[in-house]
Amino acid sequence: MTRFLTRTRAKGRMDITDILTWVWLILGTAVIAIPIGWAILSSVKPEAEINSFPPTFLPRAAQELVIEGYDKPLPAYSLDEEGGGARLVGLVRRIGLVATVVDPAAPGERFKVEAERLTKQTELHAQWSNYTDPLERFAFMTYLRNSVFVTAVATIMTLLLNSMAAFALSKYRFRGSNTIFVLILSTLMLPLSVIMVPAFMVIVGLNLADNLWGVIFSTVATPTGVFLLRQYMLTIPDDLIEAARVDAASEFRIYWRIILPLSAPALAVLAIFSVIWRWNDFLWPLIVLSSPENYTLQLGLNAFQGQFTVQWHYILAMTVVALLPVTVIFLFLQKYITEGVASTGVK
Amino acid sequence: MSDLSNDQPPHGHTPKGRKLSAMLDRALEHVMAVIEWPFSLLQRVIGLRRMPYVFVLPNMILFGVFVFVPVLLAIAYAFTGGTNLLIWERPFVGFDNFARLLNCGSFLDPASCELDLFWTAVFNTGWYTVFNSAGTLVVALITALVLQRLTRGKTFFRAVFFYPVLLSPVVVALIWKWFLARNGLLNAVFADLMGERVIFMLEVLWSRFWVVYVSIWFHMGFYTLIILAGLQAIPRDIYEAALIDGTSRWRQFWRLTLPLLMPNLLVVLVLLLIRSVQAFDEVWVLSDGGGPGTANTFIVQFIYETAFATDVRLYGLASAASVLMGLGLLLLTLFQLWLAKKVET
Amino acid sequence: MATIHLDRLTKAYGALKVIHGITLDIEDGEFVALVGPSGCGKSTLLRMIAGLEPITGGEIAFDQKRVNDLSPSERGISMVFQSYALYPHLSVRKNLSFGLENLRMKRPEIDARVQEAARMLELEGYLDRKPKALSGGQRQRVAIGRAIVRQPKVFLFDEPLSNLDAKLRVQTRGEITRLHRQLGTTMLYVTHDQVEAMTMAQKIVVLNAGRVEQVGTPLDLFERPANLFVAGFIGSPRMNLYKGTVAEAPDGTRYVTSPETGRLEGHVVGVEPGRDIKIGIRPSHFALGEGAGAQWLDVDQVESLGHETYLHGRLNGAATTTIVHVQNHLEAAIGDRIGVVARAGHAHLFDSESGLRLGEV
Repeated sequence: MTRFLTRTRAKGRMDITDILTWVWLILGTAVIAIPIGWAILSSVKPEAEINSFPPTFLPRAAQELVIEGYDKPLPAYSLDEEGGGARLVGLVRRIGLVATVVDPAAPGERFKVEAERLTKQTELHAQWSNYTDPLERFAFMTYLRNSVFVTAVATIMTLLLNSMAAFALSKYRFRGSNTIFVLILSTLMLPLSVIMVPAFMVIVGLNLADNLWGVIFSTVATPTGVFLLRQYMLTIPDDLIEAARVDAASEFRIYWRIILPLSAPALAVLAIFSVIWRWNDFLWPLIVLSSPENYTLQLGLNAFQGQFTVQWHYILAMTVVALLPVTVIFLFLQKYITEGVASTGVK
Repeated sequence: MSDLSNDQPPHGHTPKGRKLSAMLDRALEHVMAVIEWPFSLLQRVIGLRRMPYVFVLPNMILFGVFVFVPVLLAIAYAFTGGTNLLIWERPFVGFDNFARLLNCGSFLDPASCELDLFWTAVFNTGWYTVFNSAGTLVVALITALVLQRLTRGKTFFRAVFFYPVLLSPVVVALIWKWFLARNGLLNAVFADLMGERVIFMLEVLWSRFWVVYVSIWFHMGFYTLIILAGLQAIPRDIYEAALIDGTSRWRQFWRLTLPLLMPNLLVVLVLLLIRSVQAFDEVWVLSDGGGPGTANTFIVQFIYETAFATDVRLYGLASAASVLMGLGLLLLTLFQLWLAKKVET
Repeated sequence: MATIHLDRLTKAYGALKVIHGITLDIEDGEFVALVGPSGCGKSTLLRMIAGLEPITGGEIAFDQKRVNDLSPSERGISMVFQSYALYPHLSVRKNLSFGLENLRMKRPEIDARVQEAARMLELEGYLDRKPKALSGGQRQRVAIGRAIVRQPKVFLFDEPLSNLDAKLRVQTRGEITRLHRQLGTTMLYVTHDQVEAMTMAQKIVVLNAGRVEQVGTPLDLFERPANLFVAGFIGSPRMNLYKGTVAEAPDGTRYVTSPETGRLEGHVVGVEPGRDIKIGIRPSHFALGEGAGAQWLDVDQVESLGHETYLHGRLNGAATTTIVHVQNHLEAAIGDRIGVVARAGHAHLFDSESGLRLGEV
C-alpha cells in the first residue's frame, strides 16, 4: 500500500506535492462518497431509527426475543447484574420505575427489577420493506415502468434515427447535406429552457400532452448523437460501401449490414449516454406529464418527497432505486463513459 | 501461399453453436427483408442518389417539429399576450412583455421592479453563476492536476470524481437534502461541535452556500475530465526540457502548464457560465422550489413557474424571459466561438 | 462473358476534366491491363466502367448494350479493390456469400458457390475466420473469391497486388492469369506497374493524363512503342533516349546519327534529312563488342545481379546517361571503357516535337 501511495510521477521519496495530492484524493473521495453512502445506509433503516437523533451509523432495529409461553416476541434488554456483568432478558411490562422481565433460559419465572438497570438491545437490521412498500402501496411501480419504457424506446429510436441521419451525412455527398449538418450543429448548444413554451405548444398541438410519447419523440433527434455517429462513420472506408454496391446490396442493406455493425463502438457510447439522459430527465417530463399515472421515476420521486416530507425511509429507498441503473451501467462501462466524455465533450 | 497456420482447424464456434447462430442469422434476415423491402422499392423508384434524403428525413422531421419550429415560435410567443397556449389564438401585444420585465425603478434593486421576482431571479442566478463557475473551475482544475500526476489508480479516482455527474438531479438533491436535514449526518457533527443544530435549507446564507456546494459536487467531475484531456494533450517533452533546465514545479505550473492549458480552461469557463445560467433541476428540488422565500429562485424557475406552475399561465411573459435569457446565452456562445477561433490561430 | 465498348467516354469534376474522350474495344474473354502513371485516370476509368463513378459524357456498352445508367450489380461486374475492402465484421464465409444473399439466391446454391470458390482459392480452412485473422495473401484471395462467387460477366481489378510483398506479388500474378484461363471471363486490370501489365495481360492500354497513348499486345508495346511516352513507360530499365538527326550520305542513302550512337544505317521512310529526332535504344539491345560500329561506354556504375549486369555510363563521352544490359556476370569496374554495339533494327526513332514514332533502324 505504501508503495502504491508513493508511486506518483517522480519515483522515490515523497515530497510535499505528493502528500497534498493524496490529501486531495482521499478528501475528495470522502466528500463524494459520504453523502451517497449515508443515503444508501439510511435507506434500509426502520422508520423509528431514521428519525432518531443523533443518528446511528449502521441500520439497526430493536432486538426481540422469542420466549416460550409468550405469544409475541419480547423486546430484548440487557440487565445489569448487581455483582457486575449483564445478562439478556425479555421485557414483559414496565410500570413506572419497575419492570417485569423474564430470562429466556428460565421462561417460567418472571421477576421484577428496577427499570434503570435495563438497557435496550438493538441488532443490525435491514428494513427491506422500505423498498417493497412504495412499490406496492404507492405508485412507484408505475413510475418505474414508465421510466423503463421511456428510456428503452427513446434510446432505440435515438440509435436508429441518428445513425440513419449520420450515415447520410457521412457517406453521401448530396445537395443540402452541409446545410443540414450546420443546422444540427447549431442546436448543440441550444438549451431546452429557451424553447420550453413553444415546444410544449407543439406537444399540445400534436395531442401528446400528458403522454409518454410526448417525452420520447421530442428527445430522439439529438444533435449530439448525429454528430458523434457521423464523426465515427467518417472513419469507415468508402471502399467497403462501394464493394457492397458491387455486391448488389441496396443502400438500406449497406446501412444495416455494413455501416451499423462497424459503428458498434460509437453506437455503444451513444446508447449509454441516451439511457443515462432519458433515465435522469426532469424538466421536460415535468412540463409534458401532468397526471401521476404517467410520471417517470424522477417526477414521482420529486412529487412524493414534496407530499410526504417525513417519509424519509421511503424517499431514500426510492432514491437508491433511481440511482441504481446508472450506477450499474457506470460500474461496468466506466472506461467507455469517461473516455466518451473526454473525447466528445458531451454530458 | 504463405499462410499463417495452414493445418489449424478453423477456430470459433462449435458445430452446434454455429448452427444456432446461423439459424438466428437467417431469422433476422427474414425480419430485415420485410423492413428492407419498402426501402429497396423506394431506391428503385427515386434512384440511389436520392437515398440520403430518405435516411435523413425521419431525423429531420422530429428535429424540425421539436427543435426548429419551437425556436422560431419562441420569439413569436414573446410578442403575444393572454393565457391561451395556441399561438394563433393569442393577441399580438408588441413589446409589452419585455416592457413589463424591464420596468424597474432601479435595476440594482429588484424590489423596485414591476416583476420583482424576475429580477430577484436574475440576481440570484448572477451570484450563483459567479460562485458556481469560479468554484467548479478551481476544484476541477486542481482535481485534474492531481489526477494527471498519478501513474496508478488514475482510472479509479477519475471514475470516483466523475460518478456524481451521471446521477439524476432529483437523486442528487434528495441525497443532499437528507444529508443536510435536521436529523441528518451533518447536523450530528454540528450538534457535537456547536451544541446546536442548524436547519441549513431554511437559512438564506446557508442555503445559498449549499446550493453552490451541491452544484460543484454534482458537476465538477465533467469539467475535470475536459481539463484532464487538455492536460494530456500537452506534450511531455516540454516538461522534460523544463526538468533539464532545472525549473521548479511551481514555476512549471505557472509558466508552462497554465498558459498551455489556457484555451481549454477558457472553453470550460464559458461552458460553465452557459450551464450555470440555466440551472434549475437540482436547485429547485434541493431548495423546495427556490426557498427559503425566494433566496434560490433562478431564471429558469421563473420561466417554468410563470408558464406552467401557476393558475394564470403567462406564456408570453415566460417566453419574453426565455428570449432575454436566450440572447444572453447566445452572446456567451458567440464569445466562445470567437475565443475558439482566436485560440486556434 | 461480355465484350466492352467505350465510346468517347469523358469524365469531369466541375471544370476539371480527367478523362478526355476514350474509345476502346475489349473482346469477350480478353485480359486487358490499363496501365499508366499515378493520376493518369486509369482508376477513374475502371470505376466508371464499374458504375461507381457517374459518367460525364460518352457511352459504355457491355455486349452492345448501353449500361451508362445501370448500377454496378446490374452491369454484372465484380471488382477487386486495392484495399480489398473486405467486410471486417463478417467471416470469410459471410464475405463471400454477402453478394449472393443480396441477390436472394437459394441457400444451397450459395453454399455450393462459396465452397467452390474456397476450393479454387485454397481458402477452405479459413471460412470461419474474420479478415483480421488472415495474412495479406489470404485477404487478397478472399477479395478475389468474393468477385468469383457472383460469376460476373466482367472482372475488374483495381491495383490488387500493390499491398502485397514482392514475392507474393509474383506468385499472385501467376494465380490471376491461371484464374483467367480457367474462367475465360473478360478481365480488366488496372496497375501502375508495367511489369504486371506485361506479364499478365493479353492486351495493354497505356493511359496518360486521361488519354489513351497506345493499345496493343505486350510485345507490340515493347517492340513498337507508338510514342516517346510509351517508349519510356514500358520496359525496365527505361529505354535510353538520345537527341539525333537524319543525315544523307553523298551516295544518297539516309542514316541517323547522334553523338552517343554514332552512325546508324537503315532505311527511314518519309523523314527528310536534317530533321531533329529522338533515338531510343533499350538497354538489352546493346551487345558487347569492339568491332565495326562499336561505341565506347565510360562506366560510372555497375549493378551486378549475378546472372545479369547493368552498366551505367556515358557513350562516347556525351553527357546523357546510358544503361546497358548484359547477360551473365561481367567483371567491370568504374572508369572502365567498354565497347558496345547497338543491335541493328532495334533503334527506335521518334519525332522530337510530337514524340510520335517514325520507325526503327
